[in-house]
Amino acid sequence: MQNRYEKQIKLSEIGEAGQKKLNAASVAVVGVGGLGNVIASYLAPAGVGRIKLIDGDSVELSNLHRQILFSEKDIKENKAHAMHKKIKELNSTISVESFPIHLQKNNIDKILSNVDIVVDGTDNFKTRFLINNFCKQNNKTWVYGSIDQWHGECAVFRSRGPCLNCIFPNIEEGLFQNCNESGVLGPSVGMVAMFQAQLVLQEILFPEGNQSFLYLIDTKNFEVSKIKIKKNKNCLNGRTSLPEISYNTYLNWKKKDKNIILLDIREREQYEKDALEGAEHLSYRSLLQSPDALKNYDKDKTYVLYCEKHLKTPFAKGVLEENGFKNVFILDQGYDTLRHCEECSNVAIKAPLSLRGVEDDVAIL
Amino acid sequence: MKIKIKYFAFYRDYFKKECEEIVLEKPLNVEDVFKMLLKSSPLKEKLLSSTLFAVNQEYVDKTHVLQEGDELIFVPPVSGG
Repeated sequence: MQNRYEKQIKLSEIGEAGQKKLNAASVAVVGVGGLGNVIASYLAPAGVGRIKLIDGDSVELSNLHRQILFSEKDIKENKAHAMHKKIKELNSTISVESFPIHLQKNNIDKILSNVDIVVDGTDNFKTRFLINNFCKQNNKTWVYGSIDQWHGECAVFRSRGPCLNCIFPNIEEGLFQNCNESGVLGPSVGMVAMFQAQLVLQEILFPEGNQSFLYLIDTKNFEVSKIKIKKNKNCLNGRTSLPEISYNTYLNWKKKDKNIILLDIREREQYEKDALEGAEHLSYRSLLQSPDALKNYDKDKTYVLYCEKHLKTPFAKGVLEENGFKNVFILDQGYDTLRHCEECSNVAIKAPLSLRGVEDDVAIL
Repeated sequence: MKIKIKYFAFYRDYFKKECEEIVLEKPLNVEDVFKMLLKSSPLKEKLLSSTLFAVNQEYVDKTHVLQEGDELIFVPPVSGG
């Protein structure tokens, strides 16, 4: 029987073992426009086992010249849903999930937490930095790509290497035009997207790459420059630009660094009633009264703060930083939201040890 | 001292050329050269802080001092997709 993957399996670097890696891999394509169309249309036939498609936009007539999997009858349909059908036609054996929404701070954990590689099909830096910081904090690889007129860029950002923030720390959206305003030819978009698709497949097959490069693709003169990039010492793994972190990110950090301290800054009575698992208590009131409240805390450790409604934490963070604490982060949602958040079913709420001790005593009695 | 400058994306439109060779009277760093070339732009500080620089195909800091024969590339972020 013919094997649909036989031509790629024949490559000595891939073989049956490589194909198994592809079939076991999970990739999220964020943005299914010009870049995402071509990326997904190469990942699916190659047998990438699980593909997530994320896009809140609908297909428009002016997209069709470059978003080559979409046809006239797809106009007005959501892009993620339309692409879902297309790539299932290309390869019915893989699993595809589509999300007809824009990737945002409040949904990124849920959508991207169980994928191996994230690939960028977006058209804006706000989303790219969201992806960048999420991937840094969660040790994931992502593949950046963009195009403006004739010029494309792409790169692989691995958790241990440089990130987008290392090479472009001060991007101002709009300072340089994007292709919606300045125009682009379909094949130019395709060339960049094919670089990205190839980079994704190679990351799955040969994940041990150490060197990082930014590829500059001049699609008019057919020139590619391969720029060696490195970590920027002022970029703290994507943490610098994101003092707010999600509860899931805190959990991931805690797995790797047991010294991270979760600080509940609500009133003592609230903390004793119930709190996030593992949280220590330092009331905001005592912090404001005197910095003496901090004297028993190690300034070199990492602290993650939360309060009821995410209102006091920015001020508390400022007090800690004024007193020499360098690594202070705040949860992006308050306890009241986390407590009732159905989507965050993994939020562990437990009474603190002191109170559980009392309850145990009561139980024994 | 002669160096080659390659312009990418936005900078190719801005300077209306793909590359050029310039002669430096004294050793200058990347920032000096950038400001010298964009002297008339009111946005030069913003553009400087948003641009990636590479010398001889390797990312460098804007304080990197250029040497005879270096190839400097101005790389702006490109945002479309």
